[in-house]
Amino acid sequence: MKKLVILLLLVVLMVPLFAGAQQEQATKKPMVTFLMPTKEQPIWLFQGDELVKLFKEKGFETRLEYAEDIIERQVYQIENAVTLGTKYLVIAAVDSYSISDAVEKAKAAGVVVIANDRLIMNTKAVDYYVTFDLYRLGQMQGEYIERALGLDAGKKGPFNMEIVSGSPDDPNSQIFYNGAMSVLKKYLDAGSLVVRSGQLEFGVTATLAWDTAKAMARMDNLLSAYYTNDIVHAVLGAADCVSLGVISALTSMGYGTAGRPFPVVTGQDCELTAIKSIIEGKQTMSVFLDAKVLAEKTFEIIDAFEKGVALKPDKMYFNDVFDVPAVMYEPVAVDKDNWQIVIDRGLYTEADLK
Amino acid sequence: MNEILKLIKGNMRKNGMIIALALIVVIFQVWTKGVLLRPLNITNLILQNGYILILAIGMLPVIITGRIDLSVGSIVAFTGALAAIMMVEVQVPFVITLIICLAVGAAIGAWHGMWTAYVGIPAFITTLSGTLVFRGLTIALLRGKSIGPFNSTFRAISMNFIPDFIGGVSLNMTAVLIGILICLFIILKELRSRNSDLKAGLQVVPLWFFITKTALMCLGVLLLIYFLAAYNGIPYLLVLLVFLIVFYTFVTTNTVLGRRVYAIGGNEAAARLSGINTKGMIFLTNINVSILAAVAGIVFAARLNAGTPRAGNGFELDAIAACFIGGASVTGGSGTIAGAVIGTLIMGVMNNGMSIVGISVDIQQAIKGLVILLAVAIDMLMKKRR
Repeated sequence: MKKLVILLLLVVLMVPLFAGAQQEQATKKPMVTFLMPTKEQPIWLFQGDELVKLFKEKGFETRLEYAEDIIERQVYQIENAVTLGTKYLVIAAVDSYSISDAVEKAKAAGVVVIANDRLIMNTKAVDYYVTFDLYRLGQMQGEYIERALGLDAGKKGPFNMEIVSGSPDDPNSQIFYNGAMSVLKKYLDAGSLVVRSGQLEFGVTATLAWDTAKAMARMDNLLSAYYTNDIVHAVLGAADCVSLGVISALTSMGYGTAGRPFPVVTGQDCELTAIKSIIEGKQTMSVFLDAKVLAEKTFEIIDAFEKGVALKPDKMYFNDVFDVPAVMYEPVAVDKDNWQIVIDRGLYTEADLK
Repeated sequence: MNEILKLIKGNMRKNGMIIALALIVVIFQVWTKGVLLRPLNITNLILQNGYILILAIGMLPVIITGRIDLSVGSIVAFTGALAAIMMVEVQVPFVITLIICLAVGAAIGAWHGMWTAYVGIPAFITTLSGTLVFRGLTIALLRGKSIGPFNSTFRAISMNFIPDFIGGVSLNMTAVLIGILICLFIILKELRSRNSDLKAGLQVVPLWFFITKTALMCLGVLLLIYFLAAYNGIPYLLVLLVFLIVFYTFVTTNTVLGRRVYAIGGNEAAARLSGINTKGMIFLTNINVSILAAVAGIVFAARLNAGTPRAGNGFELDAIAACFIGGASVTGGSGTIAGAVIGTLIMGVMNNGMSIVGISVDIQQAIKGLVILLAVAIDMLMKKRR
């Protein structure tokens, strides 16, 4: 009978249940759990590896998990980390707006919550934020276009530019956009820089989930609609993943020949395809975010908590509820003149770039 | 002894899944070094799988009739987005938001039902269309952003527990009390059914067996209650889940409506010729699954504390897998609510266990796929033996 099976089930359950319950080992090493959004973008792999390497060296027990860009998976990774007794949670959110409940539960259980790269919004349960200067990065992209087109030297153009921004559900995207616009706005107003499609606002230029295919499709449509008789001189690509799609679209439209030189294309993250693209002369620049430096800055924060000292933040970021103290590291612009830095800093090897 | 073995073998199919679940729990309990059955983790298991269970319960009648509903994931996203817009941006009160979301769910179900039942389009196509339509509308509604946060009443659905009205000890005594009451209820129910069987002259199991089995059922309930009481008590979500399970088990096993659904799945032409309003019933199953998808949408939005554009992605597959692992037939005509619950638990424990052990997410997915295949294969083999 079904009930007899329940008997077997319960008897068999009893044994490991009590065996497991006794195993409350007191580990000397405090645990740090690193939660990353996805393995699909190499930046998270780089960060994950460097963080684990540094913290293991410093005597912490480490756990590293990826959520494949699935929000609810990250939510239960947070819950499981708390169940396992982690002392610190360093989270790069899949969706900054959807984990407020999960981190509040973690905070209530005494865990120190640190947001990495993407600020966790709508909750007081964030202790610290470690990031690069987001606004500065946007400015760097804008400044690069400004310099490459000669706008700062007084060239009047008019130059055609299109904008491909990041995911609308990532609060960083808006900041990158704002940073870049702070540099480029005066040229847009003066008419030396023109967005032919009229798609200027962040909302209309955003690319959901930073998806390469979506960026490519949009660029295809922009090129066929507005650039049959004209060429585009610059594309403000928010990151390598969307710029990859942009470059595919440009290539298939015949850019990269004498009559149609490749426009200035920006990016960030220094993905492998982007570096190769920069060497080939298709993508113009990317931004290097050194995961080794990120790991050091994260350690600064956690070390301060371990020692019980107050750490002076570099800047405060408002997460719609309160100001989160943040520690920042410098982004580095990379183009065909200085791309060697990605090999020097250990992101890639010579063999990777063959 | 022989008698017992005969009874077990006779019910091997139903027992197969319970044994599989038991095995998986034991494997992971040992593998996670005891973390799986910690009170906090048991509570997490309930919260992590609650919305899938709701979808599986709604999906089951659809599968019994030999059809499928691919749109539930998008309905989850759509109602979550609707709730977010209403409560966060327009400041509509909680109860009205709830009613509107359920009504929208019913409307979507009616829409699908009309095309499937009355126009005759295959359910696969209708609901495939639904997946795209409502995903698109979700993203449009949210303008691509995640919208939150909700107020505390809304979040309570997925976050809060029945408060301890008694208190005083570290165990949640209200939960314990509820557990004891449930046990008394089970004992009474079993006694009554045994008595009515005796009166009707039907064969009953020996008394010692009856006492053992009832005692074990109570033990099971008390064990679960203990785990919950040792953490924060009974989550509100569990109350909702138990209500849905009890209600739908009753409808599927004890009502004419339930009988008719099975009849349609068993042989639709025969059912229609014997006077069952097959079109009406299909229409009803569509409305039912969509309302439950709306409920799941609200539960999920409360868990994330936001309406998100990517919510519900792939949920329909989880719900469908849960039903099939639990013993539903691909051609329709069989499947139980209890089976859907076990199917959800099997997948939930695996997800949770593999995550705790630290298996990489990509390998997790591969393992899950294999387990689904094996579970249904074993189930089909056992059916053939009969």
